[in-house]
Amino acid sequence: MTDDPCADSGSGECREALTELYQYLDGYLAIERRTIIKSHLDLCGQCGSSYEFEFELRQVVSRRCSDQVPERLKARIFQAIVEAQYEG
Amino acid sequence: MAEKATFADDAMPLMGGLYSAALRMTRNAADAEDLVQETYLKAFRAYERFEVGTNLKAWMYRILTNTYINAYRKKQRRPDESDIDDVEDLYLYRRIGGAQGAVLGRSAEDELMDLFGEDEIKVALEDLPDHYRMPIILADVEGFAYKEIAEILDVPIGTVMSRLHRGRKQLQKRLHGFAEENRLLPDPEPAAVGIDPGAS
Repeated sequence: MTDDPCADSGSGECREALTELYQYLDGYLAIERRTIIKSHLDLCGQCGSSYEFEFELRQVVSRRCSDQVPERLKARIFQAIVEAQYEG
Repeated sequence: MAEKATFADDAMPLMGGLYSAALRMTRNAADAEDLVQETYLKAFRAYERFEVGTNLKAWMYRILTNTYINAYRKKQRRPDESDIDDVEDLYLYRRIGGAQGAVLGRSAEDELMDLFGEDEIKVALEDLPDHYRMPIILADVEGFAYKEIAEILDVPIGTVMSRLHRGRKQLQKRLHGFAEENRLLPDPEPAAVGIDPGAS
């Protein structure tokens, strides 16, 4: 593939790093795999850069998708729980 | 077993995340408010069965998710479950990775924040079919681990992983659509990515 961001995508290391990207970012990799990927990311600018991008994107998704609870909803739910206490 | 008297103190701090998740699921504020209220009432009534010391946050999200699936999803007629095309890995990075970090002194996160309008990421996420949207909300917005998501959604961990993988790529494809519409892309061609050696 000519548009592969990994300059050395033919090598197993870049391919593995791409395959395990989400497991790495999700904290799911065992420590051995994690260490191997981490040292590859330190050496391979392309993979390091793509991992960084995915990480930053996730921060942005999380920030943009967090909404404030309306005060009236808090009050409504608190009231509903108080009432439910007397239902028995 | 949990004491009902402590429920409000224990569970009220979780409302922000539950409300955000409910908004992404129902796609409208009125339904989201009803869904969150129903979740809290169900949780309160069942609280004596909740085991203290186990994961209250995951327990609440399981109630939220089940309530949504049983009550709200049926009302929403969307061509939801049809499978969509597979998308290549690093879809967005290959297309806009070079734009990011282009201005010195700004974080990549700030660049990405500017690339999308205030509500575009929400819209892109809400546009995904349920089976992709739910794991992404739980993992990427609420920060749950695979195992917790598997328990909340009652699917195997392998299913969580494959849905996250495919769903995130679908999300990136939709986000790229917005980025293109916003005409903030300096170069419509994919790839040709500038590498910042300090970024890795």
